[in-house]
Amino acid sequence: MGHSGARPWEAIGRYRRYWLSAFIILPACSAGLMLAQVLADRLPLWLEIPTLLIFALLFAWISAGFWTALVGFALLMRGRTDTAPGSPELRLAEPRPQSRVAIVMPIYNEEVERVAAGLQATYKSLQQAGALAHFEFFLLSDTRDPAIWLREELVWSALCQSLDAFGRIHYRRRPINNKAKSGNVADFCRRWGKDYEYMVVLDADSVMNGETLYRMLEMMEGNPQVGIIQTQPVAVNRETLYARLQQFAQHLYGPIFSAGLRFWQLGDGHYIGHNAILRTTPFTQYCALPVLPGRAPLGGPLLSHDFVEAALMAKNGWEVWFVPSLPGSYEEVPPTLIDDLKRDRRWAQGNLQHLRLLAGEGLRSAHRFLFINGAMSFLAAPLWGIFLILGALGSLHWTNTASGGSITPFDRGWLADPMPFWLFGVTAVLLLSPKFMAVLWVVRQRGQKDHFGGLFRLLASMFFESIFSILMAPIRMAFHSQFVIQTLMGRGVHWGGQVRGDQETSWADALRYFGWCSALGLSLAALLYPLLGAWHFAWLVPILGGLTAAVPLAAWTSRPALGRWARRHRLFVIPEEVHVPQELQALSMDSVAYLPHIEGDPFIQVVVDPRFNAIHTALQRNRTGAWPRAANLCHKALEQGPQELNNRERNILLSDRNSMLALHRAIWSTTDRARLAAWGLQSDDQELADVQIIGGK
Amino acid sequence: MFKDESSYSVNPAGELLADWTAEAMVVANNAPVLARVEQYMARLSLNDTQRLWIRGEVVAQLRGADMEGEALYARAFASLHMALATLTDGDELDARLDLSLKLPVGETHDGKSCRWLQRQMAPAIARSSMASRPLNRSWGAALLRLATQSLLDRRAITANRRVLPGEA
Repeated sequence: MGHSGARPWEAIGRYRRYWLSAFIILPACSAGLMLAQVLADRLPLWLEIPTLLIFALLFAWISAGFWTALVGFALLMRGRTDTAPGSPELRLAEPRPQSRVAIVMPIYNEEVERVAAGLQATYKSLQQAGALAHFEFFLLSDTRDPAIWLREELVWSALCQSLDAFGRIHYRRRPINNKAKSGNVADFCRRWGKDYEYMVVLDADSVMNGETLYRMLEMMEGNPQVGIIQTQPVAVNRETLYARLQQFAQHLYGPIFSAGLRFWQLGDGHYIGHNAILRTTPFTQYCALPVLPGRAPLGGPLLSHDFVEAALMAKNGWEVWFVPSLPGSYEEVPPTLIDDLKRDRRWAQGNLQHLRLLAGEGLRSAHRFLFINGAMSFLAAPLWGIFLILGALGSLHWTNTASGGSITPFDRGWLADPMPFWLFGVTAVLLLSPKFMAVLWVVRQRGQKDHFGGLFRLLASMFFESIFSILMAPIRMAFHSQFVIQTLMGRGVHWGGQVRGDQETSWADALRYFGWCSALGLSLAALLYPLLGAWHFAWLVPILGGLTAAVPLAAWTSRPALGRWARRHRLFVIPEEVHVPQELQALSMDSVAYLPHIEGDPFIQVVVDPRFNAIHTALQRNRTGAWPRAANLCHKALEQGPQELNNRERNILLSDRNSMLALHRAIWSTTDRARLAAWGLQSDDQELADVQIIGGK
Repeated sequence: MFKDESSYSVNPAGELLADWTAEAMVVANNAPVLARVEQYMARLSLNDTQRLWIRGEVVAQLRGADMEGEALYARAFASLHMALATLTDGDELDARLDLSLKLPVGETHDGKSCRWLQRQMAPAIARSSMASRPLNRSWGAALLRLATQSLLDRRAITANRRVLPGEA
């Protein structure tokens, strides 16, 4: 510690970031001055100054995206990824035989079969790559629902049995899940971190290619100064129209943005909490998260841990690299707009919390910028909302002063001044040109456009996706503004499981969640049209149209049938659908058809079925301290039936080996018909009849 | 003592065994209990020899048992579990676990399959501490640092760099 020599990429990075800052600040100031010319003498000062400030801020925000995309585009068109000195790709080393990597998969009330399919796909891919010897898997469960917990255990044992992976796939369920996912990973580090030099963190829906994992290990081995290597996971596997649009956008536009991001970041990269490899010792030593003073939502434990972990790693002298050129890293996106917004709600709170760390001592400026960038992803929404309100007020003021209070439906006086059109054009270029750059890059690569359904389909998909994005923008603005206001007013969000399946949104749900958006859009349209006139109102149509269409958009885009229709017509096609990688083929539910199928209540099955009972009971300890309470609960279960036990009581019984054995024996020895039926067993008369029938046959 | 099929003999003369009638009586009198035992055994992956042997053990235990109702069932299941335990020369839970995991009963992991499964689930713990370090988040201090480090000494690098192996 304490050595302060510059690393080879640092000077390059600083130089690049100065340029980026100049590219962001100077055009934003110029655009602000242009708008100032338009507004001068037309608006009162109290309206003009905030309009100009917010405009400049938002302009800077979108131009950061544009310059990132442009740099990424230039790099990709030159046919190479950025390899500044010190890049981990430049120095690979064959892993030492004793190098061990733990692949940790934190899960929380997840669909168990999907988790198993993903883990199995990654496992088999590693096996195929011949690299399994270095890797072990840890399923880290924070599940509270006993039914899902039991499924997880049985699926774990079946998975180990089928893959012959006992001792290579482990399972741990935390009894108390404090600090959510970050706490779960920290719990792993405290228990087993010492035994594994590296860990790869996966999400419940992550899948990774074995060769990619091995390459990441080689990079870590060859670069002892690197603390984290983050891949760019690509979105796959979804069927709803909403998710397919997201997948398509991420596949098409993602590479140029990723290449650009890498260009600015170098060794001060970001970490998104999954599909990344981490050096365990420094992570354990430095990346325990601080608890912010005060109460949630802005105080208390950090809800978004990943950016902070990367910042703490970098603060202590370890490099964090984003390597988008690593293929074979997959994830899934939320299937519907509702699920996407639910995730955004958590992220909004987490990212706003990061602002409280901005002044943290020793943090690197690149990571402070990432905190601001993350918070701006949500703060931009209310700023845009305020800008629109100011714009509407400005238009109203202008219309009234220009026409002496009388409103004309089409005020041609505007056409005389070209400046607003220039500003609109520049803004449109900043927002839309990355889409065209991405298409150009795809077209330039031989055969790549066919992976998006061919040139015509690619252009059509891009067109429809752009329309969709334009309509979605005001809906997101409305919700993100709501999230920011809620967070600032002290309303927190609870940790919940995520929806992973393709579940469509009913009209009733769409109306419940988005009814206010549509109502707002319609009311504003009815209010503003007579006040503004047709010409001024036309500028607001994309925004009011998006808001008004919120309900049907949410409902229709959640339909898997529409997504499948689009796929049949080769719209929103992604390369992984044209040539399905082996690890994604292995994800099909058929591949885990052998897993134990538990019919009905898993608690009953685990108490009654001698096989399930054996597996679960074998994994529990005798909790003598809990026995008096557990004994009472055993009696309650026997006398009143399992349905009368709540989840907490079930958890107590399930955690105690004695209770499980006692219940199992007592139920098989009972003669009471009602009790037998409650536990899903046949009465003796039926049993006997069945035995006789079988004997007769 | 558990016997596999090679240990069973045939009775070529077809003589009535002395115990045969008594056993038939037990089976007839305890048909519902035995049906439950069969139902239980059907859920385990026992082979025919194991199943017949366990059934024989249960019938033997029921012979002369002067009880009824739940006590009789409890006795039957106690003897069933005892027979299962005999399969592994250890614990009935180990035997059930072997059967559930389709392992040769009692022949792997020294008959201690439960302990083995626990180790497979969670390897031995090697504890290390992971505690958050204090982070000075004061804006005043940050501004002071900015003034002293970044503006006055432009060569200063705020992050501490780790010393790499081989570096002084």
